[in-house]
Amino acid sequence: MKIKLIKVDSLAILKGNQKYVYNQMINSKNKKWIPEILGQDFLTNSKIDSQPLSFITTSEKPIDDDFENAKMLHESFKHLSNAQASDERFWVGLSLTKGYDYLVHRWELDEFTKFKYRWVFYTKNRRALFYHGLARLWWFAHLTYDNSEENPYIYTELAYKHPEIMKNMVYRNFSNSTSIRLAILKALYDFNELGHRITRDFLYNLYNEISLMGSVSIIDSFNKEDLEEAILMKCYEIYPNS
Amino acid sequence: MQLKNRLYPYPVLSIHNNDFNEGYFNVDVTYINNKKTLDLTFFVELNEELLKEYIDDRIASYGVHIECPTTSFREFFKFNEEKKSVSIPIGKIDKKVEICTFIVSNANISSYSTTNFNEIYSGMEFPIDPHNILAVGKEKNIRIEKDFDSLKNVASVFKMIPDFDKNNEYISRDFYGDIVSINVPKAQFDAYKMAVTNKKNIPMMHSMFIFPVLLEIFQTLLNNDDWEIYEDLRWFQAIKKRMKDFNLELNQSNLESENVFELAQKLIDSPLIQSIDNLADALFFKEGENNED
Repeated sequence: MKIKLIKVDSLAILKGNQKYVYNQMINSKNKKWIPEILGQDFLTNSKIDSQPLSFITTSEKPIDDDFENAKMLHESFKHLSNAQASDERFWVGLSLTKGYDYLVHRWELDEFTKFKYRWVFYTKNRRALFYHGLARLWWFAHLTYDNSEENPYIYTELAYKHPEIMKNMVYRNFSNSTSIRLAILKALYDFNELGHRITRDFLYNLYNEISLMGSVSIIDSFNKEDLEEAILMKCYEIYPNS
Repeated sequence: MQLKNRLYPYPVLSIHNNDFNEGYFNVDVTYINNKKTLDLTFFVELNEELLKEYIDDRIASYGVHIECPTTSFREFFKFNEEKKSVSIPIGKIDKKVEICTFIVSNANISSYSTTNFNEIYSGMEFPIDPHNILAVGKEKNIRIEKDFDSLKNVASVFKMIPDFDKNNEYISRDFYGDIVSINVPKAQFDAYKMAVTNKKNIPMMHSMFIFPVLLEIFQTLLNNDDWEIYEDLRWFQAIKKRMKDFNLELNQSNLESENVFELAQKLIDSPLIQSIDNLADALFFKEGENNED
């Protein structure tokens, strides 16, 4: 079985009628609106293998299941390429099928902006990946996954405990580099384990320092250990002032 | 990665500044997109004695930085040869790849100095740390086309969309996404769908909906010097590709010199002429029918 993508035409209808769709969703309380608005054949086959998905919805607050759901979604779609995982048709197709009930549970539909940000890509740039209700789970797990660790999701868990880590990092260009990103996460993990608090101000100052390092140097040129050490040193330098 | 406007606390060899009296550094890139991998080959051109010496002694290396903003891909390659080949799996990249090239130090250089520095640095020595940038080459962007067939037909990137909002009485358009959407009130959209079941009506529909929007697109491009926000979009690529069929590059000067009213018709196979011909055929057929009575 292959995963179905939403067709380009159906995606255009969905995005061109977002307020109408949102009203249909909150009024109908079921999925009948999908074929009525998007057409019976709104999906098309992809080359991506389908996987069973079991979203966890047991916590009192849905947000508390985010880490487990991110892990589950990433495990199920570990074979996705970066290009496939950046494709809006994949995530919207999943939202209207296997992910529908989860999205309603996690994000409710009490205001239109939740539809706009969590069900479709609200912007053309990569920022949309970190807003869409399903894409954000996969991408946060993907960007923090380290297969050199015994528990490859060790930094994913850290990132969900301290959401500011990734929220502030993903909009900075250096976060695209796996080696730089994992070096930062490792340094933050070690720093946190030593009892230091990771605050928003601390992260803001740390990321600014790393950006500054990149102004005259190529950070990507550092080897892994040297970079981890350099970032840990930066942590200690800025911690007293944060 | 933007390197051209950066300021450094020491001289950097670059075409963007005059920190050196003489000398040149650049890395030419050739590439083949074989649909599975993007195969890149880099050819280094370095003409500066001290930096050449650093490369030979491995005190410095050439560096190539490859980034894809769409897929969050970023890789760095360091080498000391004058030619280097690299393969990127196509699944890791999409739309556009940005390439930056430079020379980067591998060691501490306690007194970086040469008589080739611009005279404002005459006699000065600079401490250089490992990983510092010593030279910057030209930046290059490569466009990644994956769905080759979907760009063949300009009309295919225009989508007619039913507009379900009953308050909207007019047809609207949007060309800020990958496709150009033409939003038609639901009742008229249903009529449109009925009409296009007869292929002879398609040119008329293209004349009514696609042609004026294509004209507006050309006008928008003519009124804007900076096309960066459009260049990555599929409709832009489709128009660009179709213009090549007529040996025309999509650029400001060609749009200024061409008659865009005619050009728009050409790119979508002259729907106005076809519509009139089809109309004439239909009238003639009807007249023939009447004459037979």
